Amino acid sequence: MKQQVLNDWPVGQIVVVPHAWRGDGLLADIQAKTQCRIKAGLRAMYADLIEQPLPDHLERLIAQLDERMRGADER
Amino acid sequence: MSVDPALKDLMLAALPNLRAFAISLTGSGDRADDLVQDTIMRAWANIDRFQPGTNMNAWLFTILRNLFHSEYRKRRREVEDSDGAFAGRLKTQPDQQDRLDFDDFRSALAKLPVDQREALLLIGAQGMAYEEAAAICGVAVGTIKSRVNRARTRLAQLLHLENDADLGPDQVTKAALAAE
Repeated sequence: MKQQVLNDWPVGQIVVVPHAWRGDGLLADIQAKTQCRIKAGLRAMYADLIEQPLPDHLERLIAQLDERMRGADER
Repeated sequence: MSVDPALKDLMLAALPNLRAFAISLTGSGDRADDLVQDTIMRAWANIDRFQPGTNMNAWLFTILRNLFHSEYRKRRREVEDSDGAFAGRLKTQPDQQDRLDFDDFRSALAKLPVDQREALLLIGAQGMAYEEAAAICGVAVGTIKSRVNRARTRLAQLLHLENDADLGPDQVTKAALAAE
């Protein structure tokens, strides 16, 4: 026999959900772990980018600017 | 007029960090290289404005950031996830790895508002002090703190790390599953 759907929830009644089994300490722990992972991920990603070899044109740029400036001074 | 060799060395030394910041900010290697090149040329042209003894890195980051906002942002070429491909890919739970996948990270970063992204990069990745980042961005320290906080929260959402289930099963659960 099918259960009848009850639709007699009183309007305006406040529903109180008992505190879940997990405590606030656990939630704080989860948030701290999440932030640690984000921080570690961010640092690792950044370190990976820093270790990438520079493109030649960027590596030569400062020397070229220097030469250009010296050339202009000599003129 | 020639440039002090010590300043040239400082500029050279800053290049990898500038490029990493630019790539993270723009989400594009080519754009980042253009941005770094423009930054160095601008700095070189204004080297007489640099005060010896002050922080060359911070000065260069400020120039790069200003160039990004004044020229590059106008083009409105920020990385977008119009087809939702990135979001779909992120639904895959990280495989209990300590370090999240770099590509996922870069993609998630690209989805952050640019003011939050730059604040998070300067503080969280570059390791700058809040005061230093605030000076670079031209805002109050409290604003930087707020942006970093919002960026971290948003990043956690984008990477689906906002609850314990997304942190992966604990060791006991994994052991129990393995024993089945």
